[in-house]
Amino acid sequence: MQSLRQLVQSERNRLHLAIALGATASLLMIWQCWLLATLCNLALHQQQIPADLLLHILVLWLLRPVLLAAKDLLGLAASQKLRTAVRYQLLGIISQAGPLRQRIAADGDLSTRLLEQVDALDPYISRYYPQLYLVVLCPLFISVAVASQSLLAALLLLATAPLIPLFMILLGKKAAEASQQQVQALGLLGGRFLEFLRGAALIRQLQAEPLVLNRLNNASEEYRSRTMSVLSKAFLSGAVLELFASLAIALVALYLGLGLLGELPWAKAQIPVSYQPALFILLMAPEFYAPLRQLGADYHAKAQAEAAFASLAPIWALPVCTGGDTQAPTEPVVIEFQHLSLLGSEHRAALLKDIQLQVQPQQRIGIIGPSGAGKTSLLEALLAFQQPDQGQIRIADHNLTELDLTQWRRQLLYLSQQSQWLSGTVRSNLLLAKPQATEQELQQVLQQALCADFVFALPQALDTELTEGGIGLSGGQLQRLALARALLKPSWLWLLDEPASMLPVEQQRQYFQQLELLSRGKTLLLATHQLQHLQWLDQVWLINEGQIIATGSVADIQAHPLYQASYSQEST
Amino acid sequence: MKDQLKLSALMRQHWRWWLLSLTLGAVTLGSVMGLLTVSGWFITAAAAAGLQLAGAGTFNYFSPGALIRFFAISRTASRYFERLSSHQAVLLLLQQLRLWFMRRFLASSFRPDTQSADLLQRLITDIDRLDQWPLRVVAPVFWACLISSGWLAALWFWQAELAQIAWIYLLVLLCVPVLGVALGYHRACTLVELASQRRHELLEPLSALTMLQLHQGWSGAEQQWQHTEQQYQALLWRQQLLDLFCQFLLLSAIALMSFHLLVTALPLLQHQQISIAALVALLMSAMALPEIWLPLATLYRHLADSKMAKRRLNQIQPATENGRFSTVEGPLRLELQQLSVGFPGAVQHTLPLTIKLKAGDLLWLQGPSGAGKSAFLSTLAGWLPPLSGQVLLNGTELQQYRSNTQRQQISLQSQHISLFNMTLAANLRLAKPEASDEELRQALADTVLSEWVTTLPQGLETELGEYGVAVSGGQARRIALARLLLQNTSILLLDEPFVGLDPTTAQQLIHNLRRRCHQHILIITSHQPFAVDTNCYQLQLKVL
Repeated sequence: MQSLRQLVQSERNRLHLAIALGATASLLMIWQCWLLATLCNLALHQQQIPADLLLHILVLWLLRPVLLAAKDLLGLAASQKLRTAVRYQLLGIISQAGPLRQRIAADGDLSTRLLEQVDALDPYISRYYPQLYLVVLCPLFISVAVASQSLLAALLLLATAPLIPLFMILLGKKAAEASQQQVQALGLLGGRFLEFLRGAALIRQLQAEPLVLNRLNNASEEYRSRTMSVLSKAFLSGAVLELFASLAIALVALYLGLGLLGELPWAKAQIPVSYQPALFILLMAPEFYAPLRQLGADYHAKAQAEAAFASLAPIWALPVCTGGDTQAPTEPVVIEFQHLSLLGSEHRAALLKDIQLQVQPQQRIGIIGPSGAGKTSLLEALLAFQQPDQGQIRIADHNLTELDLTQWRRQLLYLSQQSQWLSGTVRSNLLLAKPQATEQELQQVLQQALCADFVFALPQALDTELTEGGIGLSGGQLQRLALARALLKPSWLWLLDEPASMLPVEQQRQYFQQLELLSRGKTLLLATHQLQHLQWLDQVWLINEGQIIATGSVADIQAHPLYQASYSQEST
Repeated sequence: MKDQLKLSALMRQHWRWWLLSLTLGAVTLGSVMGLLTVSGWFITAAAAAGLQLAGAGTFNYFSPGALIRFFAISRTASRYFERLSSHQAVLLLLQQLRLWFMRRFLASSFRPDTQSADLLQRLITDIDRLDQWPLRVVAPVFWACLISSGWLAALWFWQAELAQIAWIYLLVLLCVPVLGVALGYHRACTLVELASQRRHELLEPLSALTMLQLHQGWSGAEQQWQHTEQQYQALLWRQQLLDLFCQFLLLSAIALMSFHLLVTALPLLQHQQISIAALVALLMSAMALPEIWLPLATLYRHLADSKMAKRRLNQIQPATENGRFSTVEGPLRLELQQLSVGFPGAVQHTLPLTIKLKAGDLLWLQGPSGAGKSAFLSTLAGWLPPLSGQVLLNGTELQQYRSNTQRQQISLQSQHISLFNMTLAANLRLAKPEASDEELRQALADTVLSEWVTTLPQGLETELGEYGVAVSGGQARRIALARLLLQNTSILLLDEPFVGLDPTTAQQLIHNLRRRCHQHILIITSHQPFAVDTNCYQLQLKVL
């Protein structure tokens, strides 16, 4: 998706119908003005007013609001359809992006984009886009109608017409500048306000309340004076436009009136435009400028919509992996990394560089390296959320990207560094992995993951409520609980990312012993920052700066200088 | 509930600006009507005069001509100044609102953490939303009533028979916003609530996305959110329909009124009771009414929005003062008796702990992450009540002191560091506004930052944060520590102060701290062990 205009094209049928209705309403208005002028002319000459003329006027008078309402309705319907489609599409991309989404923004920010920012497209779609056409069509119709009665009056109106695009540009530029500056200033002020709110605990602690209020007051004061000086200029261009409109109407009225009196300096005792067309023109004159004023009023909404669209663009650009429809193997098979490279977001360096490795079925492998070395990226590559930038991962005879990813992920047991929890009971969180699991199964996995002792010590055991994010249990307890949950699902490829990092040292030993028993017969990749209690691993990969430095047995790697350097640092 | 937000009280302070913008707005709308009315009257009267050729020469076209030009200019000028003065008034109101809210927030017991970023952002939006009350509710109602009654009065003065018709229609017009409120106000409030629900229902599964994808739980969560989303969109659609309906009613009522007036006036015209020029003037003036009345179609929405925003802001209430004592007497003593701590809502708490500390003592608390170290320090700082046991400061329970006294005696450096986007000196002086540069430098030297400060070209006046120099996590921690030292409380509680420091700097820092705080009590938590020396206690925190 390259631009907002392109996005709108998918709803162009509705929107063009809306434009047609708007144009029709404008034609009706012209017709109605003519009828009113006719009526007044008849009255002026004290002639009988025909009843059907009155009826005509009534119908037209009532028809116009109907058309305008229908036009707005179409715009709104198009906008809602489009926004819903965009929102579902973006959510689809984000859900396929998995951990990749964090490159764009934190989850709070992402949901703001999906909800509020997508909604901010509304005024552009429903109002601004149709108005772009109507601002040309309506004045055009009116000037043709006026010209048919009086060329001079049409010229008077049209003389200001070339000024319209000029002022549009001027107004647009000024307004954009003004709104940009205002947004910046507001951002500064909002930032200051927010940081003081965030630091409230500290401010109370330091008893710095008066100081902070004073600073806030100064910042607001500064913001206000700056905004006012910007606005006084920005409004001026709008005012000049309005002045032109008012003066043009006034000039037309004076010309027509003086003409009717025969008092025009260049045409004494002549009536250039008779009463009926004169009134007709006068009635239409305000409508000539109305669409333009509307467009000016909607300009701010347009700027907002464009900013919103810009914030959505990176989501569309995410290099997500959608997978194919090849069946994923359900038993351990050979996994091979073939020259795999993954890039971070634009400015960041490569996460993984040219990884060339093979994992045999049921092999148990440790991945070790300093933090930021690429351990997590290597594990996440197997989750298949990101399209590899170079090379590929082969699962038996297929590329990972060709597999049915839902089915592939069913084969995985993955524990991330930060375990993820929903608000609800411990039980409901466990059942996410296997909704139909029995009580006995739950007890079994809790025992296997060394959770039984603390879970059943809780007063409400499995029915203990976890708040959002798992707050309520310690990090180490949540890590073990995450293992229990993962064990409910039969899977052959285990990807564990520092699964015991928050456990006390003595519990770590117990945990890894248990892991050794549980993971027999599985293919295991375990990211860790130390190799204590892990002698049972078949192989260890040492990774640094996205590259594999060495592979070998636990003893080999423990003897490696890089491991020794980082390990000795850890222990001090 | 006491101490509710009163917008009118805040607005009263700048009533001149509000009055000015209301007046100018009325002048603008009056000019719009005047311009149309006089132009219509002028050309019709001119045409009528032109028919009676004798009258053409005597027709005074100067005064209506001047009026037309006057209205053209006054419309533009008053609209320009109305926009300026209303923005000025709104900005002043927002300034007052921000200060009001900040004062109240600081007086509350609300402690923002990483989870509350969202909430704070919404509160800020709520503050900005309150300008709808004067701009979209009060002003349009005032203008519509003022201009319409002026119009009606003029009509009454001229032709009472027509005014009687107009009067009925104006009452109908007035019913439209009332109808809007009756039909839409409740829904608009529901929509505001549903908007935060749909956000919550999206945010929660989103933060657990990877896990849900692996357990095939995502589509369920997505469906649930979609359900709320559809409900929200359906309500929103109905609200938009109501907007259009109200607009349609207003426009149709005005059209019908104009027609009714026209039909009634035609016989009067034939009986020469009124002139054709006056009739055209009447019709033209009615053409100005939609611009005045249309903003009232969506009145109910703005009413509901500002009401809900106000309600949410009012939820932040100032904390009540429970303490009685404001002075701490005698030499410094801190006793923990069978103290057990935990965060509210947490399912676990620490094992009871008893210790007595006096000035010059250092307590080193060790324990793995999640063992409750932060909860322990928060309890000692008086931020959390103990789950069981007591904290005694000089023999009196901590909670018995007034909160100001607690803050003067005890300071806590949490793991969540707040540095503001201000200069280094300004950040430090938050703790001690009257501190000299020398004192600031000394505090920075004590936190092993002297060398770093000398590398800064602008020294103490260096801007920190987003728009200034970048500070590393370890530096930020030590700047915050220097600030705390300047506050000079008797008890210092430091949560993991050595994270991100190399061993030499950490050693230097602890040495400086002990020297500077030899008359204070220091309590430090760390996951690292510490070599015990004199006046130093080490405790292992254990979880039940």
